[in-house]
Amino acid sequence: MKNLVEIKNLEVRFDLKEGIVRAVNGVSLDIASNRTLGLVGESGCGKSVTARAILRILPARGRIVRGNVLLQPRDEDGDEPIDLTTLDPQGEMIRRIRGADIAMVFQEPMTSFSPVHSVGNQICENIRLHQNASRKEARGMAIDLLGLVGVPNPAQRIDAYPHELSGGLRQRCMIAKALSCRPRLLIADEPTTALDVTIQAQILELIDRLKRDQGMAVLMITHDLAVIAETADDVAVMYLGRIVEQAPARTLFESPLHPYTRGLLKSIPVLGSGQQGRLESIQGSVPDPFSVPGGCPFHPRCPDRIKGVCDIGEPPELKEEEEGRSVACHLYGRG
Amino acid sequence: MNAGMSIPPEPENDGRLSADDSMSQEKLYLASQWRLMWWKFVDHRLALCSMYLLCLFYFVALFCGFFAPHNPSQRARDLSFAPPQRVHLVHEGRLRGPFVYPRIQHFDQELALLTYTEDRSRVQPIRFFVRGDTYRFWGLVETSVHLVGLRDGGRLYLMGADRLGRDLFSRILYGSRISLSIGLVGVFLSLVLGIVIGGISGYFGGVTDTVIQRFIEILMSIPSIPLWMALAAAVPPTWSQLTVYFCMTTILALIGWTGVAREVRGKILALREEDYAMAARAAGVKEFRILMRHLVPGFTSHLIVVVTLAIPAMILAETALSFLQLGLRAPTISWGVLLQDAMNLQAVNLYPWLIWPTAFVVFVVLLFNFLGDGLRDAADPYRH
Repeated sequence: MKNLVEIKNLEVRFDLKEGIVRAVNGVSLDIASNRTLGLVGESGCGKSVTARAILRILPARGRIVRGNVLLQPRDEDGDEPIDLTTLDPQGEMIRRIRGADIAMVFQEPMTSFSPVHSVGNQICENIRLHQNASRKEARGMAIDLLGLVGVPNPAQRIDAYPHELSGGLRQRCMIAKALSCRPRLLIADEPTTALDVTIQAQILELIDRLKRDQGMAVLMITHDLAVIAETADDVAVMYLGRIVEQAPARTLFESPLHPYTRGLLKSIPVLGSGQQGRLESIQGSVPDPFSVPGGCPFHPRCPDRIKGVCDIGEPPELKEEEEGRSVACHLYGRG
Repeated sequence: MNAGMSIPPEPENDGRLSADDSMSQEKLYLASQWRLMWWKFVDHRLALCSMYLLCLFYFVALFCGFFAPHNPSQRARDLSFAPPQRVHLVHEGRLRGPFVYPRIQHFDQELALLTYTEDRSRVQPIRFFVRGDTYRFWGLVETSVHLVGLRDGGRLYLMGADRLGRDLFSRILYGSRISLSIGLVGVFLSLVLGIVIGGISGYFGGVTDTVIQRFIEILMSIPSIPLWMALAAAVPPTWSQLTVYFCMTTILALIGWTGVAREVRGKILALREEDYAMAARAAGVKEFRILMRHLVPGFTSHLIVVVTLAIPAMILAETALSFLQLGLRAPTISWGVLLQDAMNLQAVNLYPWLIWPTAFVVFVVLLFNFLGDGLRDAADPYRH
């Protein structure tokens, strides 16, 4: 196994009063070191749930019913991959992995820091949780980290409270906290959604630079294709808890296969392309999660649906169409 | 903090506030939450006075041996039910400074009562730092210096005497030790119980939450006086005063934590959904640590207010329990125990000074309520 994390056939369910929601339905992903995997999809398609399932921090009613999340062990821990799905979600093992091997950056830099402790304090907490460091050493490391992520004047800012920092600075501090124990996988859950565009570019550039310097893997979760275009090496497109298309970023943008991916790409304006009239959008809206349509879940919204094929039976499986790219659609691989 | 907020007076900068407005504005922006709270609190004159007075009460309670003129258990048969002594300044037309006249006991044959008259021929000047009854200072050093008193073993009864001729004022001061501390200790215990149980209930939710909440409801629905009676009946009469005291605080705390637990649960329910709780979990922080380090500080200011308002309730509960003879008993001195003497209507009618402890209870409870009021206003970020 050469991939850092391999997600195999992961299935997450939420047992609610209104019914069962299959938030993640047989997702398989390979995340390799030194690469960025972009996970795109509309709101509610299961991107964040996938990320939380990796860290085992699902909300109380969510549970993993099937599948494995295999983490390549660090050199000193032998060579059996660790299956994160079998660990006790509150146990010692998973807590040692959280924050140390796999770290996460959240969407809202405004609220991901506790308002009552200084940011330095919270970064130091993370360092001291996972490493043997004295208070003083941890503080020194925190200052270095803040400098690394481009916080000006880190020796002073370390004592700032979250409300004293701007959104961009706070997100930088969040990244510093995530990086504090040199994680091998950084999960960035919509890291730039709450920021304005110029800051967004800086933050993405920062994550990209740190990825190259530290050789870590990045799982970039976003609904924003522009963010994917800028950062990702590989892309997986998710729809209603399933991966519908997976390809290297460049190929995906040049020739999308799945009708959903094509729809997504058509709905972004392109400067200088001479587009006339209204921007196209995908017709309809995401179906009610309690009653996912039979057959291919995308068929009610699909412009290319084939009657009698797409709307019956099991959803199409993800099949390799060309070298390195796969798609789950009846339009392909039928001979 | 919003810019329209009035600038709080700063102690060292009060007079020349307008001279450097922008500097004090900047100070306001940089002030920590506690500083802002303190500024707002200082604005609340009544609460500030209450705080100082309460400090004074606790200070006196700490050094009650020194402040009390007499040993609270020293009996004097010739002063049974002696009324409060009047402090005089002028003797036979001449200013003599504060002094009292000694009392002479008579037996009124008609009413079958002891009455007292002042012996106007002798003057007993009130002295400061006089030697009187010996007491052990904090149980360590034996001394006999009192703040006020009379020379040569004269007895100064500012608030009268009880049936055994003991000085009520000294007894009230000694009683404040227990009555004031039972509130603090009891509230501290119920606070710990409330935070931990309420925190667990709110943070983990689900079945745990339901079980704890139903348990609290059962506890709250038991009428308090029969519950006290049952618990007090479980205290063996052979126990020492100290043990009974601790038992009482525990009983009060065991009943008092439910309110705090409810408040904490409500706050935790709101705070646990915050992203920073999720972020802490993602960083591998232990659940209990998230609860105590990241969630509880979010409502410390609120808790402080709850506590200041809970202390007077504890003081009242102690008084009520002891008054009903369910709590502390006679050789122990507390305000409630002192009020047992005032239980019978005839006694209050003939010797009205026996209800002096009530005045102290009312005064202290009011002070705590004013203090809590001021703290609540100061801690509320939406009130400017």
